[in-house]
Amino acid sequence: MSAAGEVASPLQPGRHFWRVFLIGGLISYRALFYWITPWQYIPTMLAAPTFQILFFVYLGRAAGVGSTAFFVVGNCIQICSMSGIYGMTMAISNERFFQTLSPILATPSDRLAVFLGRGLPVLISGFQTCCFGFLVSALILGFRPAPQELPQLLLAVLVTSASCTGFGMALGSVGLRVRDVFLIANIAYFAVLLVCGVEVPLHQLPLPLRALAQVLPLTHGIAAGRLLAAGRGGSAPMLDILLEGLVGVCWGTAAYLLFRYFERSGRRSGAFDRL
Amino acid sequence: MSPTALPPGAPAVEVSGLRRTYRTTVGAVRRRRLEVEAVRGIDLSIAPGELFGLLGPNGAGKTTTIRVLCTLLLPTSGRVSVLGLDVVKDAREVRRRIGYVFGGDRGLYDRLSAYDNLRYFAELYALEPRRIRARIGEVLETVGLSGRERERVEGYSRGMRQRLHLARGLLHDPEVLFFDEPTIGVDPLGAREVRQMISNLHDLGKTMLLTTHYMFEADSLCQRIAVIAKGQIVASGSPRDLKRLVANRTVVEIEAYGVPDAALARMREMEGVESVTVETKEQAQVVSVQAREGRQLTSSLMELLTEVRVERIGTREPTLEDAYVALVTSA
Ligand SMILES: Nc1ncnc2c1ncn2[C@@H]1O[C@H](COP(=O)(O)OP(=O)(O)OP(=O)(O)O)[C@@H](O)[C@H]1O
Ligand SMILES: [Mg+2]
Repeated sequence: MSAAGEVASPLQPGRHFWRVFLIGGLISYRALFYWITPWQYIPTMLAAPTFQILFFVYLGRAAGVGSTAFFVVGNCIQICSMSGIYGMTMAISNERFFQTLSPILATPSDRLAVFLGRGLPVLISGFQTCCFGFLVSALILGFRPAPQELPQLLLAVLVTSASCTGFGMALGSVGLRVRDVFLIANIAYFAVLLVCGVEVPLHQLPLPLRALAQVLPLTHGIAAGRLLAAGRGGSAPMLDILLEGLVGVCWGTAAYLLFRYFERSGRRSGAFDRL
Repeated sequence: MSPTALPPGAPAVEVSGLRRTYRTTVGAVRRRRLEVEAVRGIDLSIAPGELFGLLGPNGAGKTTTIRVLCTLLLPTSGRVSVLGLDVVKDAREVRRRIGYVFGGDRGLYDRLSAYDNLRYFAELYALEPRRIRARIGEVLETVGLSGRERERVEGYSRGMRQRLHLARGLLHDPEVLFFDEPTIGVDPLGAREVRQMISNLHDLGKTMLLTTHYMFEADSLCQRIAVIAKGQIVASGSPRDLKRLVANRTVVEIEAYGVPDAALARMREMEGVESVTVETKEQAQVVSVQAREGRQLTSSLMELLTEVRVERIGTREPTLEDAYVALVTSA
């Protein structure tokens, strides 16, 4: 331990932030995201979502409701919540399982960077799942989005993946305190399937559910996606994308505030790492 | 790092009037509030470079005290400072300059390698990026994990995990280190190595606070010890000072098989007996009877044990453990 002087020379806060956000985020993703090996990742993040898309498209065709495009866009965007809801919940609340929250909170690290860093890999993974879904739909189901709106469609998918991640962060934070958060995550996954206009057009839902849909992720992103896939660009889908982003930012902010609240109340109550 | 100079003579760790209460609820339907007074007014002062031991029975409040010092728990009342910094107000600065090592096999990312575990914490401690690789190499070397660092922690033995805990605590080369039962679950040889590491850190001038249930560990490592029971310090001083508390006592040690509880109860009532403790050693029991000076107890003890197979009986000098037993039984 000769190098005392060099070791602890404090890094500039900005650099520390980016390193914890990017490098730290990636390491913690590998540490906490359960389905990381290819034989876990491929079935859960790629194969199962593909079957979900196929299931609803063929169901729609058999029942003679909706168009292929309706189900393809809805499901291809919704499957980002596989990563956004389950993945993000794991990436935060699994700290409980490993009891690593105390050691982390004992460091002087920038909490926002630690927290946001958890989200980036999840976001990328969710985006990737959506893209894969669209690719499969193009190959198997003959889905053809309007080519001139493709960049905006990708933007809608990206923003929706992000807002879903923000929502998952909130569940993850709750999971730091609540033991059975994965039960909540399960409900959330199927609730968004119903409520957010993925399989059922919003106007066919009862009013309270429609109201709920407005503040959940996916709703606005899927609406934008459907317009764009049909070649209807312009301000309407952009407004939806903006709203989707806003919903995500709100959930993400709530998640971070909740995390800081648990940190503070945990110091008061002594509840860290209690299973 | 240039330590913000501590005024000469100032303690590195200072605790005054520390109290910590936990509020919990019991019962699922009719919830009753319960208050546990884990720490009830502790004063401590540890000099720079000192290796200080905190001893006490289960639930005495050792971990609670350490977690307050590590900024993970807020004191209910009292003042606690490390290197002149308040653990409540200057928590972040305190965190930069202390290391926290706890015992047990949790608290690590099982699915990552030891190297990646350390890598993550190197980022959290804001180590200079160019130095991270070399620094991890150094701490791995120090704790004797070099060569195994690429293996996943889930395959690690208890002792290896403990070393990794230690390595993590050393990463940022803190001036003050807190160890909570650092050798728990480590085999005797491994524990000896951990003690050697702690001793080396002492030679480097680190200030350290250590809790342990192993008296010889405290005796061999610590310059000063505080014995804590039911949230209060019942004695403190050098291991020698503490032994002196029982220096005028005689300890009779009996190794026997199947000593009935009734016999133990009668021993406790005997004139001049201060305490009776029983330890099991394989099939045998080792009964230690502490008595006031000059008592000749051996024959009267033997009378109580006529029904029992006595392997060995003898008197010995009081140890730190005897002092500890005397302190916590009277607390
Ligand atoms: N988070 C908590 N919530 C409620 N009570 C707690 C909590 N942590 C500790 N306690 C209680 O506080 C008291 C002191 O506990 P503490 O863990 O500090 O003891 P300790 O001296 O470290 O014991 P051990 O030797 O068993 O590790 C105990 O009665 C314990 O039950
Ligand atoms: Mg303890």
